Amino acid sequence: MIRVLASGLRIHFLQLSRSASDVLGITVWPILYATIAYYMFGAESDPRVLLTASLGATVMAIWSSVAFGSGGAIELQRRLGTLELLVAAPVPFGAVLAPITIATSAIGVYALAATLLWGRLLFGIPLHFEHPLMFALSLPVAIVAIGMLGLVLASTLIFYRASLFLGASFEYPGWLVMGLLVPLSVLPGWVAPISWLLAPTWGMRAIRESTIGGSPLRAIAMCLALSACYAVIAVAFLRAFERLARERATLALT
Amino acid sequence: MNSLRVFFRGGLTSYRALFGWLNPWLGVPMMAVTPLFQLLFFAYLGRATGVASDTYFVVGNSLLAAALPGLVGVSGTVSGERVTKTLGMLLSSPANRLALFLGRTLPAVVNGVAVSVFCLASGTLLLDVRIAASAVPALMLVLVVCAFSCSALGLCIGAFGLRVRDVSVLAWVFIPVLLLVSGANVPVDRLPDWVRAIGSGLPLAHGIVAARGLVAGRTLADSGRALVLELMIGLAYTGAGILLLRLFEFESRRTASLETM
Repeated sequence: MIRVLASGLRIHFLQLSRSASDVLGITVWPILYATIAYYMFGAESDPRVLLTASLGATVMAIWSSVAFGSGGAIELQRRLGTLELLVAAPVPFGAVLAPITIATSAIGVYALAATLLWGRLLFGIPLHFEHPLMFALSLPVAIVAIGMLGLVLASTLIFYRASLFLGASFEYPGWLVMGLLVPLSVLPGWVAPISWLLAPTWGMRAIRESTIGGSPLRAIAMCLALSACYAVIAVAFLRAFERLARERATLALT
Repeated sequence: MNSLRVFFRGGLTSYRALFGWLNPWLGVPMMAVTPLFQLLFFAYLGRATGVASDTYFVVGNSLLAAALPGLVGVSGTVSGERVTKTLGMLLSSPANRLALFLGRTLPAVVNGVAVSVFCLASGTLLLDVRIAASAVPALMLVLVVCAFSCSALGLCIGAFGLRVRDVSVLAWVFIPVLLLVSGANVPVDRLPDWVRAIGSGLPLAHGIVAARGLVAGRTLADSGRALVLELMIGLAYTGAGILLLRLFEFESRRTASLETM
């Protein structure tokens, strides 16, 4: 199982990394959103605010990649004609699908590199990490947690033929509710409890607190706990989907 | 008559096909949810940063909402032919090229106006923004012109679909570019001169100025110059799009490179 997950993650990460359009999208988008944030916050703002905006734009890009990629993950396999083979493989379907969604999240490292470099070179934002080791821990934990949320998304959108469109429509609502760039304090009070159930909220908190100071351990623990919950939910959905698809013989149909 | 049929029916069919199996309802999540939440996202970011009032963001983002069907929709109707392997057949048909490709912009303009109106109405309701009823007719005219100019840029991007494997990424990159340079969210006086110059050469910047003027109580005559500029930009991109389509079609025939990647 571990080999399936590891090799799947490696293959899909390399595959996405070889796609010029995917890499271009994941690097250009956060740069542009970070630039919008710099100008909206004002270039004279506290450098820590601008650095946080860079990180927020990075997590936004990761969420976008997952919303698009996970929404269309099963649809893509269906189009490629590999869905039956993957379902028939002697490993749980979730173990095949999880590396795809985590890989769509992991290519966010390109976004991080591009956004931090852009901020440093063009806006002179100092790259000072308060807890570098915690940052090195927060980033992969956040990536896995967001990827696992993508797995839930992929498993619940299976029966929706335009899952790519529907997945993409979660992009802005996610950015807003997760408090990635807009502080949760300016949103209506009922938004906060929703944000607590979403891994990117805690991923962003872990990354932010390990960068500008604070205690990121609680946020890291929440990411891990949510990842486990997402895995349970996704496995349940996928099992139900697989059973229904076999019963109705509709696996490759839309 | 045949060209008119190609223009209207062909354009509509091609645009509906964007949403898969000719069911436009599949596009609703992207055409309603995304633009509305984009508006809310920037309005709340505006509140957090103190940049401007909610009215500023409602007007700017409502016009910006036309960019999605305009850029992604129109370019998709051209590049989609490559995906479905019908590009060769399309270009070997004797159909009038102007009718063939311009017909694909018309549904996007209508869609763009509809999305903009939806955003304007829901944004004003949700954020309690007030727009005088007397400003609405002129505002509608601005929405139509902005949807047209966005579709014209989409036609230019789509033309590259005859030579480039995946222009959808280019179309998607233009969306945040417009978010930055059009003045919809970042006041232009905060932007460097060179970014402002780029914005003034792209759709929306002048239309947004005109719309904000109308909402602020100015007349159409006062905002007329900005609106004419927006219209001229749309016409310029339409002309450029048609020329690029003809050029790439000619080149692809000459070098037998129509569907090479």
